[in-house]
Amino acid sequence: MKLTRREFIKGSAAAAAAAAAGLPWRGEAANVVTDSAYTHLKWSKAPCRFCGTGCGIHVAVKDDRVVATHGDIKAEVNRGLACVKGYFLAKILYGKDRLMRPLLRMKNGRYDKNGEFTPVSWDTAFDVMAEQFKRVLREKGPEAVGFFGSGQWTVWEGYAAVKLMKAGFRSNNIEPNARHCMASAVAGFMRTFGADEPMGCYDDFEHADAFVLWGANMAEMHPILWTRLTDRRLSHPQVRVAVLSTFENRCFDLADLPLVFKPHSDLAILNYIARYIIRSGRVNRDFVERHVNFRKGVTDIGYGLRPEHPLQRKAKNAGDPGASEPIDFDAFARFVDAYDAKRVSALSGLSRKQLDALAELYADPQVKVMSLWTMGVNQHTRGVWVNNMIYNLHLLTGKIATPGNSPFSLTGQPSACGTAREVGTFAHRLPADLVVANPEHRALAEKIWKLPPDTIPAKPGFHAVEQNRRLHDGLINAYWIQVNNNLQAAANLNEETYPGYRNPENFIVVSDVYPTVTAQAADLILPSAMWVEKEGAYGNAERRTQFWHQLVPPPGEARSDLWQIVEFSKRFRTEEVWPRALLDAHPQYRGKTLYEVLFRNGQVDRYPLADCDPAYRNDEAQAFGFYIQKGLFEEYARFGRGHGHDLAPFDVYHQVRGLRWPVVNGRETRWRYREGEDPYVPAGSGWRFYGKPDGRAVIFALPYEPPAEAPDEDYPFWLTTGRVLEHWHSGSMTMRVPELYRAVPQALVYMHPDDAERLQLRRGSEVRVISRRGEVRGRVETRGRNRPPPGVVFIPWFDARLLVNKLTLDATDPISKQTDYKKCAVKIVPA
Amino acid sequence: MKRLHRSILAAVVLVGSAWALAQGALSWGIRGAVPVPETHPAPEWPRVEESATRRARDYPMQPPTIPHKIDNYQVDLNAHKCMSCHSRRRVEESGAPMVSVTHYMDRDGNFLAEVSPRRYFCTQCHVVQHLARPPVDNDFKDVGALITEAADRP
Amino acid sequence: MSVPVDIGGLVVYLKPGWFEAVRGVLQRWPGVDIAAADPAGKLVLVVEAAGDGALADVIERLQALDGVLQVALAYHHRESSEALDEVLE
Repeated sequence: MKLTRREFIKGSAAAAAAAAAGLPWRGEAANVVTDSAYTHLKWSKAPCRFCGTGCGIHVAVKDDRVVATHGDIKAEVNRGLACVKGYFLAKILYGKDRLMRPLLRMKNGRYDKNGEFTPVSWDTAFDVMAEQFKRVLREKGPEAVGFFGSGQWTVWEGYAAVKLMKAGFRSNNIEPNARHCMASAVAGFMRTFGADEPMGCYDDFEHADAFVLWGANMAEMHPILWTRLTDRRLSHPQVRVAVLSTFENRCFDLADLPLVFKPHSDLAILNYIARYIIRSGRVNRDFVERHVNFRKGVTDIGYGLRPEHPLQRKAKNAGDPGASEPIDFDAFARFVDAYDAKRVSALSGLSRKQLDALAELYADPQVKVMSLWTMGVNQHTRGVWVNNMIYNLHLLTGKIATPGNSPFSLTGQPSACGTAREVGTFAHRLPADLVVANPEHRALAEKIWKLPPDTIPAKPGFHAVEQNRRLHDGLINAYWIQVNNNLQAAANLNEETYPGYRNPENFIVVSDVYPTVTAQAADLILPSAMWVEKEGAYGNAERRTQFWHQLVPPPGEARSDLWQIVEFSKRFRTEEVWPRALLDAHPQYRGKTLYEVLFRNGQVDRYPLADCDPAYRNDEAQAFGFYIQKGLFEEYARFGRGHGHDLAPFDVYHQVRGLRWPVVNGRETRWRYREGEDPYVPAGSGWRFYGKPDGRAVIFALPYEPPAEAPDEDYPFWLTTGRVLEHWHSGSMTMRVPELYRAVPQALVYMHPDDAERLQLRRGSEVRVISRRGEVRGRVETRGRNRPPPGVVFIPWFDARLLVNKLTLDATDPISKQTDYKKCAVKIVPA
Repeated sequence: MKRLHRSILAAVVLVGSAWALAQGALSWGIRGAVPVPETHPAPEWPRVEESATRRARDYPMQPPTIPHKIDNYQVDLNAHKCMSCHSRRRVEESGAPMVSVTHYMDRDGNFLAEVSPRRYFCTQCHVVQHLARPPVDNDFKDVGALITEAADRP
Repeated sequence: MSVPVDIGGLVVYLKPGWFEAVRGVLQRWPGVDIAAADPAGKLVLVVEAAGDGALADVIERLQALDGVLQVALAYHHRESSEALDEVLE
């Protein structure tokens, strides 16, 4: 054994100090094991597995097991803090029912849709799966296969899945669950700025004078960002916090301006604020003249329901809901002038005084405002409009892209931005804001991927909700679901999702780590590796790309989603999936597997195993014989470099605690579109919204329109759904952590005590909650952390026993196709 | 005899779980045996576990859970109920554990005279525990258990 | 470039009831190793600090920690970082 002089001297120091303390050195100190062979822990960095905040976590490993996790003091995002879920991260790997082997429904030794789950080898699993996908591709073509992933895919997993679907199977039917979560934010960004993702960053928390929460319950959903906001508010008494929500939640504990408004009336409130800014003469004229265009959107756009639904048939502009026409400032001013205090008070339930106090935060040129929102705005049948209308306020006042002036769209998943949005794992997208409908964009992708022209189909695939409808109707028949629990997550479970998965014509594959309800409704279950059981990269809500190494091996035969995608591609030859004309024109692709075409293309397989860090395992690199994560990342990064989406070289990210793109000449960008901060903004321009050809952002004139379903005599309550701090999303990980389970052991029905009394219910009573689509049973909570006003009930969706999405309506925003999980009508009766 | 008995029992358990697996695996997971299309009854109303002893932690950085009810505790811009017992000045009188020294550090690592405002809302990390049995066990092993296992190995 | 490095062996005496809290903090301090510990209220630390005054800074920060009664320097050695990297047989 070699010893350095440093180690020798340190040993002497320890021995001398231990002697001085009267403690045995390397001896049997009471209760403390000092033998370093036993106690040595290996600490490594990794971003948190849960929400879009992207906290840095310090992970301790011993004997191939994660033994401790806590907030990384060096991580810029959280500086040593973690929320309760982050502190217990170590335990999410060790739920007793981890899936360890592929399980196939079988009868008499063969696959059978009505068979029983039987352990099979990976070979058998992929044989059966490939046979099913090939059959469907042969009989019905690429539109009949689908892939449903998530914003929890690592960057390279999402990228490999996009290549397999869009280039390999020539199907654009790939969607992430981010469609349920961020689609309205994306469409809002694209319409207003022509480029996705926030211009500001988390540094805005330390600079703002006012925070306005549009429905976001940050105290529970983004706890670490809430600590930064709390720190700012309590350390700087002049700072103001306005909290808007349809019920009182924990954020109200810090609210200077607590505002409970009626569901869906945010549209009217936003127009009132725009009117207030204009009427009080506080429009930033110079900014508006130089950097803004005005447009008026079409109205009466429907609710994204099935076309035969009466509401859909009635809608005038359901065909092209995103259309708009240019107007000028005066026309915009006239448009919002119709939203006077009387009308908006009646719609929202807020008093004029409350409305003015809120509007004044935006209007006052001395106040730097940060607006924050997530699901309340995005899960909304007019979610894109609300996103546009929040930007309206920041653009009217020029309060944008400078420290503390920040319209900030928060995200719910760890890589909703990094994977789903930046890689473009949507039915209509390609990496770096490119889209399949644009022939130039397709050509660029085909060039980077070294594929023949016209490999990628031009027609966008089907969005998430449409995929469920097509599974239900037997139009999509082979379907692969990874890293998400869509049976629990998608709206209208009884009428759409469940019958779709169990449709005898369909073959459903679910890759997961635990037996979720989705896995149980599948035909083939593939056991996945999770989080630090593989090398990964996530991108958080402030454009920060973060890497981690594989720290432990996955259990049993579990394999990462990346391995599954790439290994599966070996089972397809080009002539089985590409049309003859394409191969006739480019015969050099004939006879090759998709693995060879997509992943052994001289780029993805460019980096040898020797490039891997010898201090860490890398199961995928070992399996394929090259540093596949680096190859995929570097190929992917070519899409964005030089185009405002620049990523740093791969190896840099293993060294740093993340960097915010665009990263140009080694420097990250904190405020996009702003001269001096963003290298893409030319000198002398001040701001430039370069996502739009003329560099101008758009202020949209958009109205209030009613929701798809509202309470009536038969179903008198609003139902709104959401999360709690202790459980993340469908609870598949957190419900298996004993401390988190015991903290919140079940989903409760939060309601107003007067409503409970009227129904002769008490706190703890079991009730049936019934909508037009289904029924669930839960217990009433009248004085918990959420305090709805009369007429509103809140039920979180983490509980697989309750399954609140049996009640929800699959109405979507017609532009973004994102479901409204916050508004449907229910009745409540004693159980 | 006793040993024989135990192995028979183990065999029965094994056969039982294989059988459960064979039955379409509907008895797994958080939801248990109730099929998705059916309505699951609500679990019992959970009571908060109140314990006088401190609960063990799996690793030193883990935030301690709260061993008492916190219903209607006021923690807002006006008052901080938790600190009326757990603050440095109150612990002698209350007998409650004092908040950890880490809580006096600000975002930049400086030590403050009072608890840092970033730690103001205790329930972001510290949670009560209910008397409820998780439907799925967890196999996490703390470092102590791993060391003991390693030391027990020949 | 070679910088002077201080290696110190320290004994930290703790107030009653503070053992776990302080140990938890120190486990996360860069350059600080806990070499031995007595839950009755003592921690033995080995500190490596590069640059003039760095070791003194660490000792000051230790003394400022809540729960710390006294810090004693039991061993001290100064040498260049280069020399410390030398491999002994």
